[in-house]
Amino acid sequence: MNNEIILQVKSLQLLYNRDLGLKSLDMTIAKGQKYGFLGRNGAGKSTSLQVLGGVLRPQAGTISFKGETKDHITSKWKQSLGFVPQNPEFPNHASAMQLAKIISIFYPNWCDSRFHQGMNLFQLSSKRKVNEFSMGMKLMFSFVLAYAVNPELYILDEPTAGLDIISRKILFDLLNEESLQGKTILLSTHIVDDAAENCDFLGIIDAGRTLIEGPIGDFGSNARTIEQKYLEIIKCDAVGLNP
Amino acid sequence: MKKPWMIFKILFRDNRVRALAFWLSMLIVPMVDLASQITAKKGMFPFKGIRLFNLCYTLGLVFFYRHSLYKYYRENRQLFLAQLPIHSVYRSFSEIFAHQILAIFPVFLAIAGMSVTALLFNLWNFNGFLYFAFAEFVYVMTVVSISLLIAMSGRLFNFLLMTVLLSFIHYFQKPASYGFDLIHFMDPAKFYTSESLIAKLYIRLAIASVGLCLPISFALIAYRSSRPLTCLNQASSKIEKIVALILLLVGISYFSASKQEPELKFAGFNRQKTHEKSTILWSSAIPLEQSVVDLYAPTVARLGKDIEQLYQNFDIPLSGIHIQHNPRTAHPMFLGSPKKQGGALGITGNFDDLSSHYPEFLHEVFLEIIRMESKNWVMKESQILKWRGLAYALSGSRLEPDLDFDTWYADASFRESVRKRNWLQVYRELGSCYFDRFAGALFPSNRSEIKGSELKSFARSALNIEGRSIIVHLVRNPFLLFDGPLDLSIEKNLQKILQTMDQKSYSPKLLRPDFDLKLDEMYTNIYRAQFKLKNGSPEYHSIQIEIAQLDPTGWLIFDKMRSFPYEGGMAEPGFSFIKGETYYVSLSWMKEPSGCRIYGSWLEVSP
Repeated sequence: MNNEIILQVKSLQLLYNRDLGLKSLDMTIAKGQKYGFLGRNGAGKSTSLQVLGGVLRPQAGTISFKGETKDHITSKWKQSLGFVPQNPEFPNHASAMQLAKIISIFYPNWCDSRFHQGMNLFQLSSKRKVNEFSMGMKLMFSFVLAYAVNPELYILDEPTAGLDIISRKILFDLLNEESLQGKTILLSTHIVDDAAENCDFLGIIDAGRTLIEGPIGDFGSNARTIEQKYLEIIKCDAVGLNP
Repeated sequence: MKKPWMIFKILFRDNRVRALAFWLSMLIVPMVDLASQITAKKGMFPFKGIRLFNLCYTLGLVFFYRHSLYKYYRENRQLFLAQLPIHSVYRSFSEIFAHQILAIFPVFLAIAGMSVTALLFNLWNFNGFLYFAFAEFVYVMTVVSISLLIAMSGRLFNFLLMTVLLSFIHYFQKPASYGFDLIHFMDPAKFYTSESLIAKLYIRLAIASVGLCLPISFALIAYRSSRPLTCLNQASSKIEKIVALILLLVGISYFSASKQEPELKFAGFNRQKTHEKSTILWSSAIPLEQSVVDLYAPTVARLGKDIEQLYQNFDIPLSGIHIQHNPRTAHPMFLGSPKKQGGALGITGNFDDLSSHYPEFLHEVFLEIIRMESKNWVMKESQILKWRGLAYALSGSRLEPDLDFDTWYADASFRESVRKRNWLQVYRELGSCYFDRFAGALFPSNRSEIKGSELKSFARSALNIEGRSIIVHLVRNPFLLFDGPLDLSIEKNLQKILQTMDQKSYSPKLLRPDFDLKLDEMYTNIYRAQFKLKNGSPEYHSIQIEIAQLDPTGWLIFDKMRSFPYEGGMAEPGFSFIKGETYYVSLSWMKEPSGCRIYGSWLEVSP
């Protein structure tokens, strides 16, 4: 892993109401890093990732991607992103293959062989209509689409929620392979074990603000110690202490 | 261009069932109505179909938008597209535009369908079609903008309120005052026929411009917003309140106008009023200034006298006459059947023309009726001679050119037909003007055969206009001429003519023009006719094809008439034959040097 910064976020803000939403998100991700994004339910993880995935437009702050700085994710940057939302939405009445064909037009790095490889690994049928998929299958399909895009940065919003053990393993195996290829992974989760096992860098968010980020070794040597540290940080934040 | 097309494709897939249901329902109802108009054989009324389509479209579009566009944002369905690497303004605009295409698509189908129907049945000419297509498109954009607004507001109550108001406006289209011209842009029957057409087109254009701007503004709002639906609600609700208020006021005005209708609507004049020496004998859907009414007053008064005489001399059961001034009408036309107007005769026409040509107009009135009657091939042969002779006598021979009688005197088949008193055959062989002169020659000196009661009966029959589409005239002169019994001694005059004929020498008979008819099936059960002229000669020109249908009462309804030069030898009259119907086709031509139009025999055609 080198120290080249692929994504840097400074004071990002997106408020739904006066006190609800993303207040100040700061994040620095190096190329090839596996960044674990931890936080409680409602902490702002999904909003953060939707902003970074280019779905939502922030109200303030800056985003730098591969050295270029803007106030939002541009459509050009999106071509290098593989975004997997928490609850993927797909159009009705379209088969997996039909959707893949449509999506491939928008991504210059789209790779059909990667798409078929992913579909085979997760045992998803290309001919089946996507809205007939279960929630877990939709997640897998969404990941397969992101994988086929051959992105430089994966942005995964709780990708294992609703997945069975085997599919989880396939997903993380693929991510590890991608990481070895130099791809960067941003993984949001509220399960500390997932982060401890699959990430080398952690960022913690609560109440719409980044509390802390650093190498996973700074948080503990195993899942249990990392979890204790995480709980401490959240508690300190709740009583107003600096973690 | 590929990316917007993909967005359209995605959104179409997402709304496929909804869109198909919307499209089908938009088209089926007007098509059923169209089919019923065709099968009813009472002639088509295109405005009715357009009006029905517009109503279906307006209501259907509001529902469609409510169920597609609103849900699209409410259920966060835009998330899929939002992930894709497309510029967000471009994407938002494409989304809105794709929804609009989905909504407008049935209009393209309908315009295409109506155009084909119109061309098949020759309801409009090409310019008329272009104008119609443009005006309809502008109308649709207007409705799209209003429907979009309603759908995006998302509030069910407003949605229902607007739907009710739109239906209300569509159904209560009563001409009441200038104020309602503002809203007549929504009603094709009013839009295309009243004077303020250009103004209404401008109103449509203005609202359609708003309709085009709205998606852009919505797209920009969605682009800047993290919660598009909330923002769109806020943006649209203010505009929507204004639109709702306007529509509510219009709706109330319409309702009150329909309540006051008996006072506002002037029902022409009726017999009682004429006895009371009323000078107001007519009405106009277009309100006119008093000075204009005064200008027309003498003409109207004369028409009133005609009606009065019609009643007194012939007991024709017309309770009155409803005359509607319409500057766009080239000839006076029937406005409606007497039954529908309480026994009154409805006529629409240009009163400017009527004022300046009133004497000629009157003089031709009864002649026209008689001609139309006698052109009806189902008329008894013995009656043709009588009525054409009467018409010729009334016309004072001035309507026909000078004829060379030697030609027809010399014709052996004609002489034979006359001897056998086969008048219909003579009529067919000679053509109308020779025949008329012949009939006229039998008529003038002794008029004992036509009795007053018979003329009364004939006039009643001729004015029994139910279901016919001939040009109408009213007449005073014939009633003044024939105040007593009418006489016509055919026997006496016929002998004279036959003697004259016997003294003439014969000459070879020129072959009469004829035609071959070929029917090609264009669509299922719809045939295109092609006529190939035979026996043409430079002596024959202005060849015309007449196509007629029998209505249930036995009248021939002349639908089409086409003229084509002899050199061509072929004609496609642009008239389509429908399987199961029976048509009558005839050829007529002008013959030099007489300039007399000669009619061929009728051919029965049943595809």
